[in-house]
Amino acid sequence: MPRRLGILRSLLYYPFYPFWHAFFEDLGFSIVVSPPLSKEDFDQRHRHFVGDICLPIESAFYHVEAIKDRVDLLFLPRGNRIHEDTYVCPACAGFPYVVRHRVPALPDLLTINLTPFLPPDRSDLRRLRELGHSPAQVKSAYRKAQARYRAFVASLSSQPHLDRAIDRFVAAGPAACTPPTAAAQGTGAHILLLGMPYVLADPFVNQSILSTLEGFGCRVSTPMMRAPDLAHREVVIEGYAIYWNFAGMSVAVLEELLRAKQVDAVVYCSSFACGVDSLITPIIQSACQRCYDIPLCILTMDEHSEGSYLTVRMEAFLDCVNSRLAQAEPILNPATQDASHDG
Amino acid sequence: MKPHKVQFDNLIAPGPPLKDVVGTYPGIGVMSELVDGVDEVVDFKGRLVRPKPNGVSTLDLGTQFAPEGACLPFKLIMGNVMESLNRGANTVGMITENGPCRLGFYSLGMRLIFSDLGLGNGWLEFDNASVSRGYIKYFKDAYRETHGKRLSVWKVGQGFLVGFSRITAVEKLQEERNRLLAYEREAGSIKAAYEEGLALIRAVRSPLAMRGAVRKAMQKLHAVPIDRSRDTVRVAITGEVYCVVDPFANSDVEMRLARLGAEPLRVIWQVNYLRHKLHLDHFRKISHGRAVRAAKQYMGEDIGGDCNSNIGHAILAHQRGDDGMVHVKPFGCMLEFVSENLLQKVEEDLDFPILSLTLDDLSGEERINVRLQAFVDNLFRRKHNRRKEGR
Repeated sequence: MPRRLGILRSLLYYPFYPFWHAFFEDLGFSIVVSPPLSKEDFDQRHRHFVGDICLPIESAFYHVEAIKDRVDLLFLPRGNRIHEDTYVCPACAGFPYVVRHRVPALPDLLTINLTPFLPPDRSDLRRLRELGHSPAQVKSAYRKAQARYRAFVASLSSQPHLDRAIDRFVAAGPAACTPPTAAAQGTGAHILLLGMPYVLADPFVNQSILSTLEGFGCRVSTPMMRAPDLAHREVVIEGYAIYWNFAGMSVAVLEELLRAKQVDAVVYCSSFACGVDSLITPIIQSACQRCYDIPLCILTMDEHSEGSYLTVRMEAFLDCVNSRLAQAEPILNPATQDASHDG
Repeated sequence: MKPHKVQFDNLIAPGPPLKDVVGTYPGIGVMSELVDGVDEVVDFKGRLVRPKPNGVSTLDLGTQFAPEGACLPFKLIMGNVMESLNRGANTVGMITENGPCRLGFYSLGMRLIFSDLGLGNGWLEFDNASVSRGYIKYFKDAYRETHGKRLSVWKVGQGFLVGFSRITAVEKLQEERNRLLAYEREAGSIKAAYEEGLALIRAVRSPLAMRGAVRKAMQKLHAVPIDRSRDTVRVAITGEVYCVVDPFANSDVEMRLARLGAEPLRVIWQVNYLRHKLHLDHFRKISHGRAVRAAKQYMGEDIGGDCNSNIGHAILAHQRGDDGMVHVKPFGCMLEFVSENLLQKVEEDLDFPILSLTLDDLSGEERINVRLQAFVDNLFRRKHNRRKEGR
């Protein structure tokens, strides 16, 4: 009977799951992914950690709890780098250690560094050998998974819903991913939705903001659609390296679209207490308001966020954007009015 | 892979012309002692604004203009720098690093905000990883333009020796002060002696004479009458560097502990931090590297910042026989979230009390005081219980 390997549907699951899936399937694991989180589950679960942390990491703890009794082995990606040029958010890098020492009754843990850009190092190979996989097997699986990941990334350009794209790709391969979804074809304002992939792709964390925007008929672009290769590349702005992966991607895509004058408004979806977002938003703010005069809305997500509240807020913001589009000369500058934080 | 370059027009306002440069730096803990030493030897002739120590107005300025989610060190450093800019400075020099902590973004964040506010916007980054930002050249050029002569490398080196020996001496004196504080017979007498000793150290202009000054200052401290028979507990203090070394940021947690009858033992000093960055701390009893190694059983790899060393410091403090530990961290620090959680595990495993204090612009003094009181009470009770059982 194949061993059941658990993978959390959070953090680096977006966008690496197709890669992990191919890798572990090739090694003969049967893969169990934790179910999407609902508000009720979230409220009922135990809190196994202390301190202040962003919603994506908080929800990752609940994913651990949802899945830990159903698997023989739990995979938690390790390491503070997924590529030699960039760092993972330190709280993400420390997450496996916090889980190991704080969550009770865990199954066996598989904490290895497994990304499409850094091959497994010696300690990871040793750990996999303990599980009965020779380095040659691992290397061949790794190469196959890399090819699979490249195909996945190439299919993303027309799909704002990363979570659905992952499900479809894993179920049916690249062929299933070509038809563009409603948002990519929308006729309304072109909204650039920025933020970390694990915020933009997780409907629990972002309160289904993509569906909300689609409901208003907007055309939505996300960084993962536009420049997925920047997820692991260092982006340099004014001589400063943006050394967290995923963070530079937002800034680079913003620059590209603003320069081409292709975007009508920008929405930045950040999470409360996220250290990376707190210092990336000033760049976005200055670029949108001072350099290009484009409406910007910064949303802060936490466990108290409400779906209906988000709808009202987006409605008001889009009213501003649309009235601005209707007039040749804008009479007011929505940027200065809408760029406020909310908890 | 080559980095992807991004360019926005007019994103950052340009700095002042070199001939108008008036420099400043963030006042962190005893940083001014180091820079004063350099200034006295090199003599910047009023082209350097000495920052004021942090205060309530600093925090107000910082919280008013900094991003809401930025950490306390960012807000305090920004407020401090803005106060100096309002007093005539126009160029800021501060250290930076290349990940994974937010420190590497401090200067970019502040430059963006200062560009919005129209404040002086010259910037000088002292990058400890590389000199690629060309700060040495900038510094030399600015000195030539403002003073009309070349900057002497010899003098700068000499200045650094004076400054470094001074900051070492001051922190040594603080360490001794902390050791004695809980035993003083008359409230405030140790502090007065410490101020006298500080004046002696500040008057010294050469690294060679520093030894004698430190000895005299120590004698002043030891001359204060103390009560050795008093029952105290020893509490290690660790945490995020800025929060530990800046007395305003941590509401002077050392003094508060001493007033409660505990002996504060600070394990993170600014000199040690500089030594660590310069790789000079390998043979010291309390060092960053030693602490990181001690944390190995809890953290398999070093994830950066002070996370691993804090866990290690807790283990070392337990081995040293300290009664407890206070861990200070800024709200929203990504690294300290990890260490705070693992410290709870250390606390359970070693039966070693650890208090994590989260600091931000809303952490009131009284809150910290009440938590410290409860913690110290607890430590005394544990000590007495242990003694009873031992009998």
